[in-house]
Amino acid sequence: MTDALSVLALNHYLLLSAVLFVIGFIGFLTRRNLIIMFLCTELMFQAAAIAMIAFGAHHGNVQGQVFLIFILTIAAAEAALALALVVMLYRRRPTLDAEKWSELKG
Amino acid sequence: MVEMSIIYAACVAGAIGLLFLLPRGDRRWAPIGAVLGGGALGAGLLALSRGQAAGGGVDVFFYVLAFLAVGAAVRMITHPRPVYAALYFILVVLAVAGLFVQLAAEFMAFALIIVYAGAILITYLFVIMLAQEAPDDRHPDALTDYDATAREPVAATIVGFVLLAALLGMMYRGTSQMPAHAATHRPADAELAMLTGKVEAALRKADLIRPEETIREVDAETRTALVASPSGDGVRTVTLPVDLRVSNVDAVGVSLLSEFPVSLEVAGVILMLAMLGAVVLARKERLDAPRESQSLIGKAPHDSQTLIVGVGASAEGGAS
Repeated sequence: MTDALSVLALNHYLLLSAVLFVIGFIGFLTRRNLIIMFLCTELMFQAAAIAMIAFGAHHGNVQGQVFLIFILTIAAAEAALALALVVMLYRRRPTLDAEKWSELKG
Repeated sequence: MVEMSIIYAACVAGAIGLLFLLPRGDRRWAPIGAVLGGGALGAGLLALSRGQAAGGGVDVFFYVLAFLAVGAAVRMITHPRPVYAALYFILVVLAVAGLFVQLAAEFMAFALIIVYAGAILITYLFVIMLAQEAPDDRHPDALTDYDATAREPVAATIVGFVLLAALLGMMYRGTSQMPAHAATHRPADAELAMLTGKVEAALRKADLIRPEETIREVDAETRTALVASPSGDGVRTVTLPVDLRVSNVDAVGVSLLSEFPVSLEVAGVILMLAMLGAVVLARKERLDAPRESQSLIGKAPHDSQTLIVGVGASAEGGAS
């Protein structure tokens, strides 16, 4: 392992993480295509991953990386299920427009 | 210290730039948005690098990779065509993997590329190509309405960048109070004590122990190993070679299997449940499904039925 990350360098990574998270968040709110909305959640996962690894490097241990393995697991499971749901919805009514499915609000 | 005023100004400029870049009917404003957004990103990175002059931290590759990641992320949420959005996301993943290498997390960098760029994004591309339709048949290149226009771009951008400004303001006030090196005090390469197999292989390769001897214990603090021979003529201490280091993969593996074994099992169960769930959700409708939904899935079940009948008939013909 290299030396622990300084607070100054940690701030760089956290800033990048915050920017990526907010871009993903804005994308999730503005895009209307179901698949792109899920893609934006993956972008937010990436932002969380950067913060996790940067904090792990700051504290000089590998637990941030180990936790990221579990995040990757959840992300893979979420992507598989979400895409299966999109395919199911598309079979029922051939559109990807999120607003066409507003009756799912219940 | 980074001047917060530059950061907040970059937030405002970035918000306006992103607003112009988001997909809408006309693309006239997109170049202005690109200039504003790029300027905001540059100003933010410049503020960071000026603040950095006080003390060491990151090198120039951070700025290159961060620029790539943020630029590709912006392009991903602003590109009207879903396939291009997915490809730009792969670029984000590659840039983030580069940052992980910078942070000495090689294993996670490669895992990210394999799992995200290799597996998840390919699934996304499959579904995009499966489910994308052209609005009319004569123009297969035309965009659908829901891809070409954003939903509530002004409100979403304002909310997003207010969130960003709040996050950064809190972050710069909070992290300055963190201890400079909060690292737990433990010997370097502490994992060697658990990696006796690796130590033994390294010692055998360096001819420091005889073939019949085995490692009994490794002391990572003094970098020595207790070696015992089967003939029973006592144990001796061997100093480890200096180039024997714990790699990132070793450290992650030791931590994963010694500290979080139950979580690892749970992760496996989650993956299997997700696989089963995806198969159940995305399977084709059965022939005896209600007629209303059957009409939407096309002629595939019908064809497979005739195929089965045909195979059966030919089998009968062959038997007689």
